[in-house]
Amino acid sequence: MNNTIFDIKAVEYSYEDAVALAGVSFKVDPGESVALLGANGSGKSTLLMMLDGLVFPSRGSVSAFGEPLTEAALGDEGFSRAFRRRVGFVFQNSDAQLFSPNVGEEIAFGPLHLGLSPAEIDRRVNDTIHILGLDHLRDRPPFHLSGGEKKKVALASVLAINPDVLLFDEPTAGLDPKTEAFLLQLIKEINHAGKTIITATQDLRIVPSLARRAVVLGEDHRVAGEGDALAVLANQDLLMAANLVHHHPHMHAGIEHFHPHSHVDGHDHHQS
Amino acid sequence: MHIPDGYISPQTAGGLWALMVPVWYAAGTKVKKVLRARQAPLVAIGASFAFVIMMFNVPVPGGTSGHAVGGTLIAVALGPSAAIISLSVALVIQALFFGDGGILAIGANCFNMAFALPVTGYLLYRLLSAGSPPGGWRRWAAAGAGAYVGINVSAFLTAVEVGIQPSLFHTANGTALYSPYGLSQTIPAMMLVHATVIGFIETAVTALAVVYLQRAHIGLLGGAARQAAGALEGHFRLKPLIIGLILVLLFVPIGLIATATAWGEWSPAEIQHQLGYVPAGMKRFAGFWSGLIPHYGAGGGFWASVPGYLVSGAIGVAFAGGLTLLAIRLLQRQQVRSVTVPEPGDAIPQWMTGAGATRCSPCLTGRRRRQSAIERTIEGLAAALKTSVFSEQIAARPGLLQKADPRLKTAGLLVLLLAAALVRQPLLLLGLYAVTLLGAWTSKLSLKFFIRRVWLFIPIFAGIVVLPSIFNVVKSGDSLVTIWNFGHAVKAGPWSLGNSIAITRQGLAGAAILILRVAVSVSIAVLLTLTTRWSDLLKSLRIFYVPRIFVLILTMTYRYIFLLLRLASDMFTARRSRMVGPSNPREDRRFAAASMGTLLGKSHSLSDEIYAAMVSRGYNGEPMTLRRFRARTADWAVFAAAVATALVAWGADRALG
Repeated sequence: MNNTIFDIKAVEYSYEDAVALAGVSFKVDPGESVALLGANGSGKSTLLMMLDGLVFPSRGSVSAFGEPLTEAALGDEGFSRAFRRRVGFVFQNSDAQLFSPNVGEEIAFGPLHLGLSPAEIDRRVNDTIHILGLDHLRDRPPFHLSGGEKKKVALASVLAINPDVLLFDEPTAGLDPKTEAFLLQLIKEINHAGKTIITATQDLRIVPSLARRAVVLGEDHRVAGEGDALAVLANQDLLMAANLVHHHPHMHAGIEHFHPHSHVDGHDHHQS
Repeated sequence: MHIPDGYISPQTAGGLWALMVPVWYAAGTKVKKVLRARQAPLVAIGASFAFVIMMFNVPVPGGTSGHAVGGTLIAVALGPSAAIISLSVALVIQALFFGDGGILAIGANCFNMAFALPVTGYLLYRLLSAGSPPGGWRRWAAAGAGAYVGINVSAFLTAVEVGIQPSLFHTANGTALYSPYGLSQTIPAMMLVHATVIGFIETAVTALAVVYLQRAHIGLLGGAARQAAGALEGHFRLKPLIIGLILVLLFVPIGLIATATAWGEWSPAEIQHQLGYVPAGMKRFAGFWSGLIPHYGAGGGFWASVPGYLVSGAIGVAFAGGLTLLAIRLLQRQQVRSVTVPEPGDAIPQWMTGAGATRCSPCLTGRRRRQSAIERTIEGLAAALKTSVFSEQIAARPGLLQKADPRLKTAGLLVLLLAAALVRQPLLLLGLYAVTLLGAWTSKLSLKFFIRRVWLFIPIFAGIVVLPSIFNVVKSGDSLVTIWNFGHAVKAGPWSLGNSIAITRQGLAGAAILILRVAVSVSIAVLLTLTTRWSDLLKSLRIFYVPRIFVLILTMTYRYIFLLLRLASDMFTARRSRMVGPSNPREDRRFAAASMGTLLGKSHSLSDEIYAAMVSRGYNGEPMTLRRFRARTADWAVFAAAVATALVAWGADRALG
């Protein structure tokens, strides 16, 4: 019995018309913050779904908290409840995640279906509403929320479960700068509080504030490289191979030139 | 086709409720067995889809537009059981929140549009497309044919339900208590419209949407969809299907015969008499009819009309089929072109640079365009969104009914609704109307607004519908006011007009009762929905033993209707922004069908995502709810007042005879 949270071994997965994962392996330890980097269609979202026991590998294996994570295992009520209490997933599409009639009930959905007592449900709903500053939205139907508010409610609905592991799929996509900063800060604090954070993103800007370690998925749907987040971001060849950076024309002092561009750090203009 | 409250008797409405309960149960069990936990999001999204496409205006040759039901399309994509539940949920939400169709009449409307329509449409689709590949032409042709038959069967049932009212429910002197028109009037009126215009829309839109699905979401037409959503018809045998279909095809003429004999209260003379006239609203079509079928109605006969319907059906099928075929031909000619993504270095084509064709002089021509079907659809979608926001605002006001426990309030208002359906005296109906005004006043609703909201819509329409029935040429009775005396029997074509045109006592009384009953029913429904948060209203359905899973589906449907409304609205607005000059009906029609296909595809993947999000937070197919309602004395007082009012009204009605 080891301490590993997730142990993914050579998983493969295909949709009807496309391969999503072609032999991916990596491990996640408790308290880590990991960024899954990859271009559109590299299989990041599928991998997150797999970590949340929503899809299952056609080959290879996933184990969570030392137990195999299979469809059969999740069919067991006890295991499924324990697993769902320990892993929370904030989806990219908040509209799919917010299916309840109002904000209060949305946040209560998880705790309610995971068998918490009514008093505990109330406490958790109140507290998460409070830390995310959603008090004035409690009775609001999801339709009448802005994009940023929806994302906060989606996060609140997962935090109320108080999971050990949080999975984020493109958490900052489409958010305004203020909400983005708020969200990144909150994720950092949650991580410092001891939660394990796994974030799938293609937005390299946010990686330094989100993750200590990065796993890069290549266009071939395998791990193209992994390591310390800052080291990965500095590895232009790796990022270029994974289509996470691109060449584009650039004007400096009247001279147009091309160079790799990742939108992360500044770059040295004297080289080009 | 939505029957409002007041048009049919509570006995009819109740009977159809009773018929639908086992249907819902069977469909629910089947959906549950096949889809297990996945059912809730899939059915809810199907229902939202059904709701939204009923708002699409589709242009019809001749310059007008109507809307499709899309029942057959949903059955083709999700399977018949899921379609029954989805369409029922959509109709319940239409009745509860948008005033489309009555609340007591939900059973009847579901029977016609959520059961008969998708099931006949689907059976025909399966029969005609048996053995053809998902991408084959027989799929869309079969879906189109199924849609045509489905909507016509549904219209026919509606006509029968409304048409049997006057012979079954009338006072001693012949005043109709509910809808005044007999079968001989409702059937031609409904079938004429549905066999031609509406049947055409349904057929064209269904077939085009299936063509679209074949191109963009072929998974929904077999293979994947059957695994995820279907497999409902795993053991599909052909023989019962063919028998069922033959029964369906025979249904129209046999139905006519059966309804005449089953309610054998009519003496032959009465039948002869009843069928000797034609509703005033239908005189317009007189030329059309006599031109088409020269001997039609020569004897004013009931039997003569049977071939009439069949011929009109055949013409409708040929017409709709031909035009659909044409549209599909045109659609198929355009090949799907592969899109190449240009590299950043590619040169921008010459025509994109510079100001190009945007110069004009003068730009204003002073000519106005007629509003197109697309613009009407956008308006409809926007209005639905506005209605919901507005209702939520009123429900948040601190009035008497807003504060009442939603369960007791719903129960109380339903009792009142039942009383309004049973009472036979116009004066008592007026009294009940006054009670609803009192309710509106205590709930801080502006009376002017409340009266306008109720009357502008359904009762005025009921008035127009019922108007012809007050004349003796349409419905016989004791003359009250003679408008024109011919002095001798007059014949107009094949129809005898009698000696004079007059307003009858029975006609007038019947019209007054119908309009008042409709107004009271609508007032009660508006009162309920305006003073209750929709999430509370749907949750309060639990006290009527509506299963939790249905309540969950209802609430999710209501939530996702708005997402799909917005998606649809965006699609139509984007379309309008590229529209110049007069709109082309054929283009618009194709666009409406393509939008439906897109929406269905998006809906399907959305339901997958929602399901994943629910499972991720612990949902395992057994929905749970928080109990938050607490009934206080004041709530019971509201309930008691409602029940007392209902009892007094009903008692007084019995006492007055």
